[in-house]
Amino acid sequence: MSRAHLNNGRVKVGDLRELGRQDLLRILDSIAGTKVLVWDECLTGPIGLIAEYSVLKEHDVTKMFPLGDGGMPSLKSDNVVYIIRPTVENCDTIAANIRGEERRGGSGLKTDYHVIFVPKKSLFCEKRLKEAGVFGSLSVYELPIYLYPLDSDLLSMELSDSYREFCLEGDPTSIHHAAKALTQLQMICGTIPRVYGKGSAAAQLFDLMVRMRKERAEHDSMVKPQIDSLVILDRSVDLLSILPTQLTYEGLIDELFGISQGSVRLPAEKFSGQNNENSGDLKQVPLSSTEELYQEIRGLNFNAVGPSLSRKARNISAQFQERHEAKTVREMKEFVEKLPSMQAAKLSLGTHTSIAELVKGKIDSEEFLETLEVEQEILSYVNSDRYLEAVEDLACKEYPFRKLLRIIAMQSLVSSGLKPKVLEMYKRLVLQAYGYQHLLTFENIEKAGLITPNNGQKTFGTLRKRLNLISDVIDEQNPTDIAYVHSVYAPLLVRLVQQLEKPGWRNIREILDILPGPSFEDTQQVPSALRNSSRSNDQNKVVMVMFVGGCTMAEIAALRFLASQEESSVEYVIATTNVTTGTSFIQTLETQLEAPIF
Amino acid sequence: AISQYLKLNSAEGKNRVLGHWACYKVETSTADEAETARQVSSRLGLNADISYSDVAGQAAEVGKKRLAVQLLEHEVRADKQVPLLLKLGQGAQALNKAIDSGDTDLIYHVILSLQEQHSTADFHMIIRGVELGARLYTKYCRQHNPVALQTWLQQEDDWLSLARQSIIESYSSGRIETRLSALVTAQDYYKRARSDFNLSAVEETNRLLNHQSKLEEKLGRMYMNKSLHQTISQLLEEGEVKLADKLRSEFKVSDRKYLWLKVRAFGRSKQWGELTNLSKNKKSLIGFGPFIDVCVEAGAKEEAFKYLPLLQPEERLKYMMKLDMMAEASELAFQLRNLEALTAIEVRSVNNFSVLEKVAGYKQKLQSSR
Repeated sequence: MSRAHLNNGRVKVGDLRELGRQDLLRILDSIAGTKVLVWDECLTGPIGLIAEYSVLKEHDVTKMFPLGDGGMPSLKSDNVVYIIRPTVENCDTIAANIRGEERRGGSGLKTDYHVIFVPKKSLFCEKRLKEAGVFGSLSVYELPIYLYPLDSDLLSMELSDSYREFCLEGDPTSIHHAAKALTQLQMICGTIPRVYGKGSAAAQLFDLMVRMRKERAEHDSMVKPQIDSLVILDRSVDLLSILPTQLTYEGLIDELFGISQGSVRLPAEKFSGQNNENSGDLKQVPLSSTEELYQEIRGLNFNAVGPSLSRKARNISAQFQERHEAKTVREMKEFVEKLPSMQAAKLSLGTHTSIAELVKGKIDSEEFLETLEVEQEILSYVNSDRYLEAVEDLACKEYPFRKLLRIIAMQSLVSSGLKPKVLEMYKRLVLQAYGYQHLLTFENIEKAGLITPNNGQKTFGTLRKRLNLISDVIDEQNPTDIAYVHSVYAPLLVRLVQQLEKPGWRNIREILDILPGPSFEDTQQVPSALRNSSRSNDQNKVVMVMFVGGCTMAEIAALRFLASQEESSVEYVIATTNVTTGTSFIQTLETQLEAPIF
Repeated sequence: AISQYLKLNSAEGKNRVLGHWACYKVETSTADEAETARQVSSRLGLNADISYSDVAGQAAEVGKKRLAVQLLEHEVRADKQVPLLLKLGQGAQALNKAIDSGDTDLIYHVILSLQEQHSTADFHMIIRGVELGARLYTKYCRQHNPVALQTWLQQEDDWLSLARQSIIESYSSGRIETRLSALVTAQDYYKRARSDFNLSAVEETNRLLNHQSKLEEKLGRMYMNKSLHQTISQLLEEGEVKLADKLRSEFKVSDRKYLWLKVRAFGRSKQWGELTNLSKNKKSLIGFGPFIDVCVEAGAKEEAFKYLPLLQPEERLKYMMKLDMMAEASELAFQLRNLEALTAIEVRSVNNFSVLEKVAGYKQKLQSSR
C-alpha cells in the first residue's frame, strides 16, 4: 500500500518511517539464510505500518508466528528471529520455546536463534535470559522505533498503557521512551527551537529530553528545523476531554468499531463486490489521508457527513454525465484520462456510504440518544440531581460497565469531585450491580483522578467561562469553533493549544495555574549554522503537539480544524503515546478479577 | 598536534589521544584522588565523546576506586555510569543516578543487583529511601515474585496494598473456603488502614458469597460469580420471590432499584401475571415505560398494551409509536398538537394509506389553526 502520502506534510514523517524500515531490513539482511519471525503480538500491528509482510518476504522471511507459550510448530528454517518488546514475560516465553526446541532436537537442521528488542535492549531482560540459560544461544539486536506514522500529521507510540503506568504505577518508562522518540524525531526534522508544556509528565519529559541532548553533546541534528514549536501536554491536566462521546465521523468509527493502526474491521457483507462465503467475515478498511474523500469527511461532525456524501454523489454523477457531452476527440480523450480517478472516487464514496450507514445504525438507538443527552447536560452543568437517577437507571438496565464509569467520571470531573455521600452511593451501586470484583478497579479509577471526592473547589466552572468550553449554538454543518467535535464541548487541551497562538500562554497565566501541574516555556539551541535559515514568512508555522497519556480522534480532529481555518497561520503535527477512546482508556485502568468456576 | 600529524580525523584523533593521556594519568598520578580527577576533567572537559567511564574503569583496574568514582561523576551517559558504579560497590549512588536518567531498565537492573548483593533487611532499607525505587520494586514483585512482595509490603506496613493482594488472591481459587478466608484477611488489612468503605465492601462480598454458596446447595444452580443484582434477578426469574426478597432486604437494595430488577426479571422470564401485579396500584417509582419496554423486548407486544393507559400523554404518544400503533398515535398527536410527532409518523407509515390520509388531515388542521 502506498505510503507516499506520509511525506505530504511539512514534517517528513515518511522519512522517519523509512529510517525504521531500513533498520529492520538491515538487521534481517545481516542474518544469513531463511528466517521465521516470531512476533510479540503488540508489535505486529505497529511494525506492519513500517514494513509489510510482502517486503519481509523479499528478505528471506518464510513464515511468521505470534509468540506464545504453546511453542512452535516444527519448522525447517535456518533462523528463528523473535521480535519483542523487552518484557520479562516475553523473555520467559522465548526461553521456554528454545529449551523446548532443544529438547525435541529441533527438526534436525541447525537453527540459529535471534532476538530483536523493540525499541531497545534491556539489561534486565538479558539477565533473565542468562538465568534461563538461553542467552548464549541468542544473537541480540535492537530496533529503535519509537514513533509509528498513522498519517502524514499523526505519529503514535502505540503505548496503550502509558497513562496507567505513569499515573497509577509511578513508572516513568513511557515518558522516557517519549523523550527518546522526540529526540530521534529531531534528528530527522531538526532541533525544535521553542518548547512549551503543561503538567508534571510534560515537565519530566522535557527534562529527559534536555538530558539526552547533553548526552549527545556536539551531535545535534544538522537538519534545517521543520518544526517551530513543541507543545507537550500531560493527559492528567485534562481527563475530562476523553470521556464525552466523540461525534466526529472518525471519532465515532473509533468508538463504535475500533480503529487500529489506521484501519478498521467491519462486516464484509456491507461492502459490495466482496466474495464473502460466511457472514460474520470482517473486512479490513484502511482509513487515511491518501483517500481524498476520507480526508474531507473524517473530521466532520457526523450530522454533516450525510449531506456531504450526498453532495459528493451528485458531483460524481455529474462528472460521469460528461461522457455524453464529450463530442470532440480531445474532449473524449480528456474524459477517459479522468476516468480512473472518477472510478476511485466512486469506490471511495461507496465505501464511506456503507460505513456511515453502519455508524448510523448504531447511534440511531434510543439508548445512545438518551445517554448523549445526559452527557451534554452534565457538561453544561445543568440539574445535578437528575443524574443520580439516570445513572441508577442505566445500572439497573445493565448498561455496559465502562460506559457507565465514563458518565460518572464526567460528573466527577465537572464538579471537581463528587460529594462523599454521592461517591459512596455510586460505588455501592456499581459494586452491587456489576459485581464486587470491581472494587480494585474503582480504587484505580480514583487514584487516576477520574472519580474522586470533592476537594472544595469549583475549577471547571471557572475554566468553562474563561476558556469558553461550552457552546450552545454550534452549527454542526459549518462549525466555527472546535466545540463541534462533541457538539457542545470544546476539548480543554486543544483550547490551550489554540490559546498558545492567541493570546499566548503568558496572557492566560491564571488559567494555566488553576490546572494541575507545572507549566513551562523553554528554548532549545539550534546550531548556529542553521539559525538564520528560517522559513519564509508566507509559510505557516509548524507546531508539534505531544500528548503524554493518550488523545482521542476528536481532539485530533479539533487540531486539524484549527489549522484549516482561514485565519490560521499554524499547521499542527500530532504525536501521542497512543490514540484512545473513553472506553479503552478506562479499560487500561482496570484490575480484572474473575474467579475460576469450581 | 601529533594526531594532526598522523592525519587522523581531527575530532576522533584528538579524542583518542586525550583518552590515552587520561588513562595514563590515572595510572601513574601520585596526587590525591580529587586532584587527579580535577586534572583529568579539566583537560577532557565536557566532551561527551570521551568515555569517562573508560577512564574510570582504568582507574578501578589499578585499584584506585575512589578516583574511579570521582571520575564517574563526569560521565553523562547513565548506561555507562551506572553499571560501573554498581561494580565499584556504590549501590546507593548507582540507584540515584539510574533514577535521574529515567531509564527504568537501568533502574530495575540496579534494584535486582542490590537485592542480590544485600540481605533482605539491608536491601529494604536502601530501597525504602528512594521513592521511585520503592515503587518499581513493588511493581516488579507484583509481577514476578509474590512472596517477596508480601515480605516487602509487610515490612512497610502497607495495609492497602496488602488488602489488595488478598482480594486478588480471593479470586484465584474456585474453592469457597479459600476465597472466604482471603476476603477475611483483606478485611483485617482494611481495618488497619482505616479504609471504611473498602472494609464494608469486602464484608458485603463475603456475605454475598456465603449466601450464593447456600443457594447453590439449596437450589442446585449456579450463583457464585454473579453480582448481587444478577443473583436477585436470577432468583426472580426462577420464581423464588421469597428468597429474592430476603437477599434484597439484607443488602438494603432500595425500592426503586428492586422495582427495576423485578420488572426486568419478569419480562425476561415472561411472568406476565407478576408484572401486571406490580402495576396494580397504578404507581411506579420508575414510571410505566420500562414495563412496556420489557414486553417488547420479550417479543410480547400484546402484553404491552395494558400499560399504555398508565402513562402520561406525551409518553403514551412516544410508546404508541414504538408499538407501531400509528393510527391511534396520530390521533393523540393531534390532540396534543404535536406537529413533529405527526411528521415522524408520516415517515414511518410510508405504505399505510389510511394512516397517511389521517395524518395529512390532522396536519392540515393544525397548520391552518396557527
